[in-house]
Amino acid sequence: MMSKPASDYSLAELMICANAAAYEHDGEVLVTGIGVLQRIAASLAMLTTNPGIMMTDSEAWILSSPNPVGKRPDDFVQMNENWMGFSRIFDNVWSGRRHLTGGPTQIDRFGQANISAMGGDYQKPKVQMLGVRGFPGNSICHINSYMVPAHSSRVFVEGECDVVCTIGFNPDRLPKGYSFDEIDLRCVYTNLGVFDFNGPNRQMQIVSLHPGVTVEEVIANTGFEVHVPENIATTAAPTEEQLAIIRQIDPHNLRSKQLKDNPAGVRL
Amino acid sequence: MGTDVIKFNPDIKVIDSPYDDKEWVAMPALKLDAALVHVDRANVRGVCQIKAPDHHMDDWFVRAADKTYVTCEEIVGAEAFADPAEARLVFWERNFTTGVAAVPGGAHPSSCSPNYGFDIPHFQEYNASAKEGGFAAYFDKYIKGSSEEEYQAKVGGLDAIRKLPQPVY
Repeated sequence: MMSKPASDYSLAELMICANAAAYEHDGEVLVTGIGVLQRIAASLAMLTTNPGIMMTDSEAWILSSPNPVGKRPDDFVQMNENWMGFSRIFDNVWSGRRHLTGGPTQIDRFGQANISAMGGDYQKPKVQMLGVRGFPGNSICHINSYMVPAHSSRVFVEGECDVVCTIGFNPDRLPKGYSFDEIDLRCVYTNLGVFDFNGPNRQMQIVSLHPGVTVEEVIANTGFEVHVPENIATTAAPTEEQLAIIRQIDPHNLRSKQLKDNPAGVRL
Repeated sequence: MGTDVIKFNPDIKVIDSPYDDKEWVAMPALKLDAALVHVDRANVRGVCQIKAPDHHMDDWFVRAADKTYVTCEEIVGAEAFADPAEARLVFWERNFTTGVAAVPGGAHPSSCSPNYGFDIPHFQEYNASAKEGGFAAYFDKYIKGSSEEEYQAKVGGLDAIRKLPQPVY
């Protein structure tokens, strides 16, 4: 595939391409991108680096080619591959053959995530969100990555998450007979960079920073200590070919509405 | 495992595996007194058919419940299920169905795909009632003292329900 780096791209498009790279070596897994950018990223990966990916129509069918996001023309023909209703998703979850990129509201230093509730106490929280949903089982069964549109210490919290919805690398919570190697938390994609939990003692570390982002900015906006490796890459720019495919996946440009003010990919 | 689900749900227990050195999570079965299910077509013997792309967990509810009361868009005869392609869209056996009633539009404000979609404005009104005393106002407006026919008249009538668009995901 041609790989001519684009010079003009949005931060959303950069984050899509970074997230798409997560799936390159996953083989035939069910990929679930929860959120518009995550779904475009999964679709991009399926159409480029990993055709083995399985995606759904977000309802009941596995597709041989991903659906574009947003309203589709009346003559659109969805490329069904097999039926997979809601109850059958769990068979994939338990098999471990799945990689999900979610968008939690809080992530803590152990990589534990929260989509349930915030503030107050559990019986009467200040903000009631989704509940734990499938996150607990997902986190123990299969690969998980996260996307964070606004990297701040409100998301990357100082203490533990208000409601711990996923298992992470907290030694005090590790069940008997399990090791951290059984927890496959991959990467976190934010508006500042790409992170993983492969630092010393499973500390979150910087993998790459987006163009123009500094280490200091990351430190100032993260509520816990981030490991800063000696060499930090700059997140790879999207290629013109990737941008062309993204435009096909997202013909209504919904990606431009996902980040506040739709910033450019290269920060000046 | 390792989450606050264990902390906040005393019925969910962490137990030792009888087979290896690991812990596992055990939870009690969810026993339902009754399941209320709406389907596309049914016959008087309780054979129920769902043609929507997904029947979700309807069959699980039915199997977990002591009684299952079904409403349907249409009552049909036994011959409606003779074609194997039709019979494959029956997701539980009729001995789980306690009773059946024809209530076209009965899934409203939810969907009965492919017949009709969700009533999104109605759900928005319902969601907006999520405050102190809010449900009482909703209940008084739509449900209190209303027959199904009167309820449907308040939400625009059966023809309007049947025109509710299918969602795009």
